[in-house]
Amino acid sequence: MIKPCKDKKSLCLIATVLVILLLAAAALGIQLHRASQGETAAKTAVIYQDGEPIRRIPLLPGTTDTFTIESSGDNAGFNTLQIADGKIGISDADCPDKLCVKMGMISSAAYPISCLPHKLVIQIEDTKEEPPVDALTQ
Amino acid sequence: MTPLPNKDPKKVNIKKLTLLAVYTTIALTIFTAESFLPPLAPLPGIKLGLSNIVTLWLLMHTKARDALLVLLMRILLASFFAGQMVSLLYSLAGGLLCFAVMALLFWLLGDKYIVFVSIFGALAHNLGQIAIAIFVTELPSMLAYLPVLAISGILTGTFTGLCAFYLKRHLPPKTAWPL
Repeated sequence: MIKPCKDKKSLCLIATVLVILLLAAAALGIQLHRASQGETAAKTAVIYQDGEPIRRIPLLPGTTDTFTIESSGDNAGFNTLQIADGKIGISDADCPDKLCVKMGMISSAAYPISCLPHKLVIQIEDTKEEPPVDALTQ
Repeated sequence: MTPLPNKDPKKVNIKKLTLLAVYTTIALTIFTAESFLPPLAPLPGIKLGLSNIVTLWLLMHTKARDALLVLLMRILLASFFAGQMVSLLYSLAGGLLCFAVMALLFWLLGDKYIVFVSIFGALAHNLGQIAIAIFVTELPSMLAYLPVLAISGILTGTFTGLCAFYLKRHLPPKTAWPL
């Protein structure tokens, strides 16, 4: 049990768990920090389907848009994407868990929105000076 | 002269078969009940993984082989019931990696450290799912979920591990594994 133990085994284990926890928290912090740093920069939402970028949408403060992306084959279905106030999100989908809808609207590069059943991923990229290099994610 | 039926090593142990079937049912029930709970966080892969209690339980009471059998049957039946073949891939990758890590750690550490076995199992499970997510979406950026999934794995793994630990403490072994 988790209590001050004298034996080495449990000490090692607690240390390992704490190290993993710390590393994860640090990674999370760095990720969020990096995402918030680029807050003012221009953003582009890149929509990937089956690993291919199918659409790039500049996220400008004023734009509002709603459109639907259909997927076919063994992952058939639809996702309705919504853009508003410089944010992008999935407003409706016919996937079973609807986690992509629950992920809400994003405007930072910290987390991509993914609809795993439809193999659809929305990722935010900071538009910097060298967009060709930025696009190389493979 | 033919050997007596009950001395035949290939004879199916009916009692054990029934018991494993019951445990599969329990795991499946827990799994189904858990799927009705609202997701803990709006990120894919974050869940309590309560049916892992059954796997931990079986590791403590019987051979790893039996625990693996129950786990595989549970995963297969669960995705048949849910009717999603996509989730089968995720469940299998996560479940098998989790099981491999848990079986190894349990063999090394034993009953006393079941909480840690569970934590590392949960971590392995989440790692396996990210690997499949990268494989399916072909986007390495799925790794962005790794820190969150690691933290959630430690928390949920602790929870299920504690469940198994206290279950073991309060349920007499004769009831749990009456063979």
